[in-house]
Amino acid sequence: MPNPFALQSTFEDGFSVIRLEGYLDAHTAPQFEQAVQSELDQGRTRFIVDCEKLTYISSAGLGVFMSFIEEIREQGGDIKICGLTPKVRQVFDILGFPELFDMCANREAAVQRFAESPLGKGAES
Amino acid sequence: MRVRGVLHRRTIPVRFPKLYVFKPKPAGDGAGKGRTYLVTEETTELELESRIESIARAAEVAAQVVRRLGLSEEAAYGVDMAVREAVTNAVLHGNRQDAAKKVEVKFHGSPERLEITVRDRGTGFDLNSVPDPTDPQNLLKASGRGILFMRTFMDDVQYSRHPEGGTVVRMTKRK
Repeated sequence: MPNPFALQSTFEDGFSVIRLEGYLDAHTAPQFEQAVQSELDQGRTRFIVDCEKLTYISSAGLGVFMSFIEEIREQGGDIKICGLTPKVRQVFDILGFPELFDMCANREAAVQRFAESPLGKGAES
Repeated sequence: MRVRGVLHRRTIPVRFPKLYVFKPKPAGDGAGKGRTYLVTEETTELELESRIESIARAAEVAAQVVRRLGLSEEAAYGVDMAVREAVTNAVLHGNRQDAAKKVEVKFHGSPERLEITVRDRGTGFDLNSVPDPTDPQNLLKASGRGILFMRTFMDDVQYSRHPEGGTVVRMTKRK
């Protein structure tokens, strides 16, 4: 299988935690999209996307974050991104994600960031 | 998908090879010494269906090519990224997943560079009309990110119209 991708979505302590693994590109992005939508459909708007095991993300994968962030913030929630490896982080940086999203070292830091800034960068701009 | 495979590969002996293939002589004919060759040029062509699955297939072949050419891990990551973006654009935006249209990918490796061309059969687009995705006003717009990635990870990216139709993106990675 040339494109291994796995996604695990759980609801823990009031947060929707989505763990991404492997390659997130135009082929696999719809799975991520569905996972976010499914949480939103249940009225959950506080997302932690754990990218510790994400090895690759394309523009289509980044597009999922972009397509949901406004709606999520309008509903009083946010997406905190955590666990990025340097290689993947570089891709987020190219598009200016640090200006738009809270990027945290790990899940604990993401939870902490929610306490400090529930609406993230959206509230600051 | 049709792989035309490695169309040609020229090999010449070199003093300081970056990528070499040992071809030991038969026993009794200088056995054990071997001969060193550098793969100096090769061309691989792919004809892909206009399906989303073709992205991974193109990336798989790109990985084989960069391995043969001895590109660094960092360069290989950039090529992987650029090929996936270019084929995604060709499949989704160029050919719009039309089963009657193919995506052609060509890898040409030489001692100096790897050149990759991706051709679709779409109606084309105006490169100047693609918004700059890093402009704060455009951050949430969907278009232009793939092109930005290709330009970031490759040394040169050029778009042109093919005389027989379709858009051609030519990307170069220097070794």
